Amino acid sequence: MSAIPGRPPLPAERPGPLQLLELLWRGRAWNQLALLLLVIVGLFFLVPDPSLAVEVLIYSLWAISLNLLLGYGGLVSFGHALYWGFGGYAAGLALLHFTHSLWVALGASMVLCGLLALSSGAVCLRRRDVYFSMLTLAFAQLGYFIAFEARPLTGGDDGLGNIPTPPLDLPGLSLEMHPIRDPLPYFLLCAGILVLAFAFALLYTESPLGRVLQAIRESEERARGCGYNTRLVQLVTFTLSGLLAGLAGGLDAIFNGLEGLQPYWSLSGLVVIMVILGGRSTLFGSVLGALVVLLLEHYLSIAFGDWPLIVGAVFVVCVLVFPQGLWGLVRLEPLGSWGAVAWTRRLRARTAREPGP
Amino acid sequence: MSGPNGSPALLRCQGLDRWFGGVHAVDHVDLEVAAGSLHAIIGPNGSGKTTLFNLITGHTRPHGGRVWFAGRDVTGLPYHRMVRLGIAKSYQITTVFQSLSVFENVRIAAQSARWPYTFWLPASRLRDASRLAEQTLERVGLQDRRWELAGNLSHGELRHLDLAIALATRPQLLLLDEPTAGMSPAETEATVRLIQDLHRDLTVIMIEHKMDVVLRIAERITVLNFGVKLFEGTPEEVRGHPRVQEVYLQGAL
Amino acid sequence: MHLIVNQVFTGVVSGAVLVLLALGLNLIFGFMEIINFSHGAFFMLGAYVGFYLLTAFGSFWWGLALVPPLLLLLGAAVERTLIKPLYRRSAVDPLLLTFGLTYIVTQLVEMVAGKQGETVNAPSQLNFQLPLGFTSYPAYLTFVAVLAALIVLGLWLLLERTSLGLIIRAGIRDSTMIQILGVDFDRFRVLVFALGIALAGVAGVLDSPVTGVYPEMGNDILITAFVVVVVGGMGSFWGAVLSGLVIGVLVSLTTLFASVYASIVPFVLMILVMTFRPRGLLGTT
Repeated sequence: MSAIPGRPPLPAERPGPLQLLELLWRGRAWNQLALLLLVIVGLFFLVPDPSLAVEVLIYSLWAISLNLLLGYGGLVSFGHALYWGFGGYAAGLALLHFTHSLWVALGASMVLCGLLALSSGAVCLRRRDVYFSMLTLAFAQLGYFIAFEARPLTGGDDGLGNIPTPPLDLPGLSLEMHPIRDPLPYFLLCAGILVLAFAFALLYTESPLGRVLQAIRESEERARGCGYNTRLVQLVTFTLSGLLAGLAGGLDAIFNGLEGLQPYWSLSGLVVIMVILGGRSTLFGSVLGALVVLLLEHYLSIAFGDWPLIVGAVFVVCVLVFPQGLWGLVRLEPLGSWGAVAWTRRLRARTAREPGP
Repeated sequence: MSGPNGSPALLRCQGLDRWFGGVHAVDHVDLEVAAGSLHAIIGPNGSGKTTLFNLITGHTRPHGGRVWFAGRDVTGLPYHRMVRLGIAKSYQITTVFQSLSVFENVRIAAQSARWPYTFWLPASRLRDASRLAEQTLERVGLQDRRWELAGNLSHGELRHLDLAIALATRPQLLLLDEPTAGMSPAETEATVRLIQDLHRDLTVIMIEHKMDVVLRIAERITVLNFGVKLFEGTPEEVRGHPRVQEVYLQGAL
Repeated sequence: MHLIVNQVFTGVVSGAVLVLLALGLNLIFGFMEIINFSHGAFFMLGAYVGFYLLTAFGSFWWGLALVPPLLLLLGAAVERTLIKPLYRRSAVDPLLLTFGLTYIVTQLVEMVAGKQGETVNAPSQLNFQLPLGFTSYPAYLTFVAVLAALIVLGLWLLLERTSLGLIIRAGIRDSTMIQILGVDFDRFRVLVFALGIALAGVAGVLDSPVTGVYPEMGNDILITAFVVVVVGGMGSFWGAVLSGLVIGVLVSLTTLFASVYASIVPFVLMILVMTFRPRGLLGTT
């Protein structure tokens, strides 16, 4: 009898260091958290440009939010920039007009984006597949239009500028933050938020609800046949996804001190590329995708200036040749599979070779 | 099991009507299925059997008529609600969760009764669901394949997985749409035995084309033709009915 | 009053362009079940190729004549190299791929031609006002409407009256069946895709004197084209024609009366249709 559904029994003997390493590499969902911590530490020490490091953290959060929809839910949204932007505007406006508190501003981003996602999701999810994708794109276009026209509120074309940086208020201390001069506190803030959000998202995907979401991706009809209200599950996921994206957008706006009006198409496309390139079957893949794309952007723009073209080309190659993404390649997922079970066969084969009790 | 007469009806359909475009797919069909019985629905292609199933399960809204299940009016309820009430269906075209393991396929169904929408703890904590999944897999004979990707199963195994998924929702009524379709004689025999085994605990309605199977195991048979209920009775009665022979069996018996 | 009539006619013309795009999308989706997110990119490419031919040869007509065959070849090449590997995969991958393709094509064009864009002059032969009943109207725009109508008619005749069209229609209906019947499905896929792309390119050339050419023009019009398809009913020939014209006119009139909101008209329409009549005006399923 297995201890964990969806996974074969653990090897009978205590795994040695090599097996532990392998388990970490290809293994259980929760090991991804350890990998994330590794990446954060790596960012801290290895990336020379601190704002790049912060951006990686923030975009990772955004990519994770999309992956819940795209990778786990099978719902391809081409309009995810909507929630990023809305979150940014919400946080910015909150800090400009209502509050001095970081947490209130971020909370506003999350709540308002959650509401936005709930209402737009209710419309978009009425249809499936390509209709869904087009509706998400259309909503993003609408958002862009409103942001453009509502000059008094959003600054229109110029964006929302001069967003004051709030202090970091924690129980016991209050730290003034100057993200440009000294990004370290903001880095730590983003790292902390990312870890929490990642853990939550991980729990979500491993929970019964998260499992149903994945089942719906495989066959919505069959999931209904198991008694699930599939649209409800998808709507909850959509809302959560928008909420996290709004949080990321808020963090970004506060970091930069401004929320610019960005082209909805290419920005939405960028996060899709991050998720697919990194590997859509795991949450860590999205972190990896954000890391790779931003690093590419950073170093390519120095060398070439035409980084979107190269990133786009890499993406097309990815879809053609390794759709399981970079992390999917590392985990040796077969082409086109979702990986969760593919590795269990290998692990089981290895288990079978090891002497049991 | 108790016979068809005198048993309470688990499922009752009255005057079910459904049009598709200009076609009267189901034409004023009444159906009563007693609890614990094994009921078969037969008829030529296009006679409305699958549509009737869809009307019962809530996949398709009836244009007329009502459906009662366990005494309760369930007409028009959406499909997933019907499943929660205790009606499960296995599919004509096998639909499983391809990229998930066989075990996970069944576990997803098993968890739906008590824990469908929890997101605050990992699914691995639901031991009841895991246990039920194990038991169901054993019952259909797939326990050895449980870590296999569902997409890798053979056709016969897929049909059994499909059945297992339906069973794991703990239904009172099981609808089987051509359960032996595409199977070899050996596989058919195994499936028939499985159905008889399941029949010990559940009420079963099956659509089936293989007449030898139907006449062997069904307790009651409904014959449809062009959406109309032509006749209903025991296998002997059906076998001897001239109109049925003419329309469907074409003198084969 | 003149203004309104003119505006309606302008709407018909822009609608005609949308119709050509929508028909291409419908063909590709119906036959190959692929959502071509790169349709807008080929619209833009067609416009740019036409522009360069215009600059090279000094005449608009060269562009109009050469873009269809050129884009037919390009479409065929794209289909063989990029789309073909994805047929066996999930429905999501072609969506992603064509999306990525748009990304690349747009960037390439920006690199080569710059972000600014250019204005395109209407052919000098048609640079006059055509008296039409109560009002006069630019001859070029009339030409666009007439040519588009001819293309639509030609396409309809192709589909309804030729054996090629019969195969295409049968394939749209049931691709498995016609493969069983021995049709070399693969060859027709190339053809249908190339045809759809060529339609997009022609639409681009025709539209370029009206809107100019600029790298983002494909992305901007793509959503509207999708809206046309969805509102008309996915897979419906005359649905696409009808909804293209309706949307073109609606947008045009909104530009006249409340220009700020013109760009979101298609969007609002799509939400309404998705909510109240998901299968579209003339759609079937």
